[in-house]
Amino acid sequence: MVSVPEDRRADDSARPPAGSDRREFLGRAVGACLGAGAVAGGLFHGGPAAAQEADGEKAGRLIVRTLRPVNLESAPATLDSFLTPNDEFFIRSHHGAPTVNAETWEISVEGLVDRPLKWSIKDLEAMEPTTRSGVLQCAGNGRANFSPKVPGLLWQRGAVGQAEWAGIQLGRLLEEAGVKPEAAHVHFIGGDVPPTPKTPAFVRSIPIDRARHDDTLIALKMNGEPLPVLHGGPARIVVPGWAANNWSKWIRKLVVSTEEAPGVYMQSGYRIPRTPVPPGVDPDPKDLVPVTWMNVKSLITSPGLDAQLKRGPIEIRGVAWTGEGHVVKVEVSTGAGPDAEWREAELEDEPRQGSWRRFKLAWEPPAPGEYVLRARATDSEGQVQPETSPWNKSGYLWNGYDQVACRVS
Amino acid sequence: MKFPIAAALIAVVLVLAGLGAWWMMVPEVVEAPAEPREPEAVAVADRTEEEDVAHRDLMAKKALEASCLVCHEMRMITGLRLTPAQWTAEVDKMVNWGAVVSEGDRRLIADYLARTQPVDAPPPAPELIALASVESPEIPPGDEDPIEGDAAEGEKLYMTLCSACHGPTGMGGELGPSLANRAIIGHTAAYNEIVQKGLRRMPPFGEVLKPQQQRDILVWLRGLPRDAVAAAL
Repeated sequence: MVSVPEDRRADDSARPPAGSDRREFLGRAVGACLGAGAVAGGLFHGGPAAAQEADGEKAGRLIVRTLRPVNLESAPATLDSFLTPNDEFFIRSHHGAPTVNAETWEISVEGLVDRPLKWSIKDLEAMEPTTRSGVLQCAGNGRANFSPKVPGLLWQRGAVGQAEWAGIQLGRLLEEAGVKPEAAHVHFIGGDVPPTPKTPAFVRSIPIDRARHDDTLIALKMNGEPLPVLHGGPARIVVPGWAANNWSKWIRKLVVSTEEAPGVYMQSGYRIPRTPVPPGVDPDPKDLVPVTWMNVKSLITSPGLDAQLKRGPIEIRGVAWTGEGHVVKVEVSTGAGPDAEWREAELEDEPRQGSWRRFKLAWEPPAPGEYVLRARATDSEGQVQPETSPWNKSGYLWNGYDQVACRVS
Repeated sequence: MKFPIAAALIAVVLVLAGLGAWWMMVPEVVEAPAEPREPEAVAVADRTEEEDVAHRDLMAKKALEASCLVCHEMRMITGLRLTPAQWTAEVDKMVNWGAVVSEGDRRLIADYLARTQPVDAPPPAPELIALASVESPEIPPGDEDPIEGDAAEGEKLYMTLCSACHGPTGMGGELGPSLANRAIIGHTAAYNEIVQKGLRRMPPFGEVLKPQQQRDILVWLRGLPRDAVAAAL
């Protein structure tokens, strides 16, 4: 077991009440085990939620956060492959998806350009496509783990996925329009309409250098299919290595500017202090920077939370990714406490900026009982996944050790 | 004027019916709420403290449903576990973003949520769903089913009956959410049902608008510029 403070050991919820539903108990046990993290950083898995996640893994379905607008989380078991199927891929919507007619959809560029231009989807399809894999992760993935708790959708482990994105390099479109030398940012304006005129539109921007980078695309396809509407179709931004707040959906207009995009979603949302500040302390606004590069992170996809395993050889599997660079190592611990042994897992897939790598490790449980499996990744920049992430008031970029409790009989 | 008298009369009736329906809704919306009161102050002779709490819960839930569900569903709220200060800040944020909540209801809602969804309560069990089984007017249909209608007629009707709440350009207003470019206008059946039966603050228009007039409005809505947000910025 992970070290558990006395008051939590005494918690009745960690004891198997005679005759109670085993699943429910295990769910609570998971909560209690993970609750140990509350000392250092806090985890927020309740019993029923944990049990439900396990069900989702078996059924290969999505976890409902909200249906209006549509916010769905992937079940970790469905993230077990190199590419995540489109209909099992998490969905994040700030405002509802707009009506889409790909026949008449146009994307324009204006602002600090020599030639304001407009392209139809057909125009873009006629250009030479770039195809690449890339991890898309919500900036708030794992928000549920922060303690004290923060407002915002309580994503747990599955607001992440990897797809093969195909589209046109954004830099190429900007080049066609002729970017003026003083340009510093590109604003992304989508077709999604806020519910009231007082509600801010979801408008974002990225610096011009990132917009011109070879990796940055306007994607028209996801895993070989036309980009589904709920994933931003017919056209979304792809910024491999950067968190999903930069991957704007339903792109209608690009505005080249000297300034970052105005508005709540760029100027106060999706910002994080450069140096962490404790809860209750307001960070210096000048120290708040946009969430861009993801941090190094791993996810155990099998066994699932609350899995009931038979003794014998077990394969622990998962995926690991980072922002800048690529994952070079994933270690897995099946033991308890700070002295637990960490073993290096076997990494699959080519190391590539912005893509994840699968990992696996053979494990033979020495005895029946309850185990907590933990994973931590290291990237080519030397970042190591920490046990818990520094708290921030919006709950961004959680990358504490991934943990899965299971029972071996 | 081409408008025949009969049509003019119908229009007048429509306006009156619309206004009547709207007026009937008004008290629920703008009625001055009870002053924020301390529990002691609320306790009256014929009510126990428990009944007072139950009454305030009921009022808070009504206010929540009327104000918050215009833009999102309850899970956006029920999924959260926050401190009283955080709940107050969330409610204030939503008011700044266009939620119509009176000063008194703000406190009622924040107090209710702080009490029923405190920071240390376990999270609700999330539901699971297969994407293919999600039938929601939030999800734009692959193809809008073509409908026949007169957009000019639809515009007139919209301006008379709908624009007060949904805004003259369909971008939403104080009482009704935006419709321009929204997925709902691609779902004819869901649109018809809401127009005919009403929804939350919206009165039913089934007796007010003929089926063809409902289609006319929908045709006009579908013809609105598709880059509404870009145009509004």
